[in-house]
Amino acid sequence: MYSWCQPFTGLTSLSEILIVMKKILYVTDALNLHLENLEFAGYICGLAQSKLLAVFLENDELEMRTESMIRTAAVNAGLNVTEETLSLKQHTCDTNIQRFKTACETKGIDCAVHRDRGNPLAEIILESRYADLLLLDVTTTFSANNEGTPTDFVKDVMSNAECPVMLMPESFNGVGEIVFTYDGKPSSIHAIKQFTYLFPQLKELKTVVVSVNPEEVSPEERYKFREWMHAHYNYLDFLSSEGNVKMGLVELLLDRNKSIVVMGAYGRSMISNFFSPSHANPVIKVISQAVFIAHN
Amino acid sequence: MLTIELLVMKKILAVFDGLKFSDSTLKYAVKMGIQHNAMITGVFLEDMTYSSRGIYQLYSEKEYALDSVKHLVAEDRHERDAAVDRFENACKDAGIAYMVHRDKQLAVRDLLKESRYADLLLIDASESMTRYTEESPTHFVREILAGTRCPVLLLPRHFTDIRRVYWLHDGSPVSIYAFKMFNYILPVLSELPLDVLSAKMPGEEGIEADKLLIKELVSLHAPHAGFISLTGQPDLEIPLFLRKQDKESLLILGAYQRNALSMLFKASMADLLVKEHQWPLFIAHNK
Repeated sequence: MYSWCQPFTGLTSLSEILIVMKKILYVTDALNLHLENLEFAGYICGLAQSKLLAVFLENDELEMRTESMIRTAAVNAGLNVTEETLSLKQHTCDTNIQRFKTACETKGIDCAVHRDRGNPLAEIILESRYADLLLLDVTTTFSANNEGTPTDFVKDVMSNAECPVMLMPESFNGVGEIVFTYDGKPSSIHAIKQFTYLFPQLKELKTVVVSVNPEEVSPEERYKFREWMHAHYNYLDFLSSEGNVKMGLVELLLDRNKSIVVMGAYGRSMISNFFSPSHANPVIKVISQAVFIAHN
Repeated sequence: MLTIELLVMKKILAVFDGLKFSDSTLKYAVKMGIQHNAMITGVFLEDMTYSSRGIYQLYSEKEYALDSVKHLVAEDRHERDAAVDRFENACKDAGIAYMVHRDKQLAVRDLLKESRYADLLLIDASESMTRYTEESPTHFVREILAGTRCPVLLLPRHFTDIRRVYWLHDGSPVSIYAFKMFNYILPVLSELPLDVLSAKMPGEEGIEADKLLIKELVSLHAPHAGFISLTGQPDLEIPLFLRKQDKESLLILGAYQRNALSMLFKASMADLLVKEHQWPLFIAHNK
């Protein structure tokens, strides 16, 4: 009777999925390459079965950094500092790209490199439009001043990127759980969906949903949310706390270990709080996790 | 590179008007359910203010007027029940997970809320939720497109198997967003032949950097995709081109951002294509 409901012949059906490759960008300042991030980047690429596209931001149009900063960068890249600044900068960028490629080869990561010479923010926003995910180091900056983390550049990328942004953890020893922050607002749901669409493979991982003052969301809506979550994840846990949102979240996220924390716009102002130096010790621990931010 | 793995269960909303049941929506819903291991929620909007008859048909000066009104209301209720039964039976026969949601509240607002916790919304483009027939896209469909929190698959009046995909790429961020969402949500369909379709006025040149980036993105998601560039007014050339192709195609386009004012003055590509009732349109926006 329902002959039309047969699956397409030749196409995969029912319980099988075709994982389409994703376009994952690894964003770095061409002068300051943090190779210690590569472990995490490699993990993400392996998960998404994708190659790593490194975007080296060279910032040639409006270099604000001082000569001595460029010299320090050159030394960090392992160069002899004998050239004049302009060619030294070029040379440092080239060396870093080479270092990156070698490191990827050693770790078995399939990589490609884009060199973007213009305004770093404009270049990265354009790149993000054509990408599925952007991996970023929280300390990335093109300013001559000393900045706290996240830097202004990182904040700008987070609020303007046209694809989700993942802040990479400083050190990486595997992912044991996913932590979703949920406040019932469209942007937190958007972030959860985007993460789920990018990494459907993680459905078997331990998953924790944290909310502060969950009663602010209507019971009906919470029910619908749980229903969606149960359809997409197999091992779910819900945690909540009451009171101040900022402190509540810090409290909920504090003891997490080996996690990826997923946030919506909630995250954008929250993130700065997490990184705020004022409550140094406990909070810094939070940022040692990977943070995934998507806004709409 | 492709890997075969267990699929996450998707949640798909299929919107029905119980008084004007759309066969096409049912067929697409069942197909999507099977193909993408999705749970289909049949949303039956039963707005109290909407019945199959106008007020004058109900009006009668005869003594037993109230009885006849009651009778007519009962008839409507019966028809709505029958529609739900049809949906349930089709899902059972196909062996897919389903739920029924009958909604007696204000139709649109509720549906939009529901879309937050769904991965895709299916609706017949001619659905109006009134007794009247309207030109597509109807007011009802427009409202859904403007306020939805998940991508929408706007369906033609008749079901056809989807065998080909065209991405209508106009260079805007939202059209790229729609392409990404299509690949995330309907990975089985992203295995079908895909063409990237664009139209430019003669002499109009795209930005070189954009072209390279778009090729890179497409090469990862759909390695065998073709690129078709038409010359001329997009509003004319694209429908003209599509009419000459097989009807079994799905079109991806980004549309309906919140800027409603500009929509009043300029019909979007989606409006033009919806009118033809030929193709399922996958529409997403990130606002």
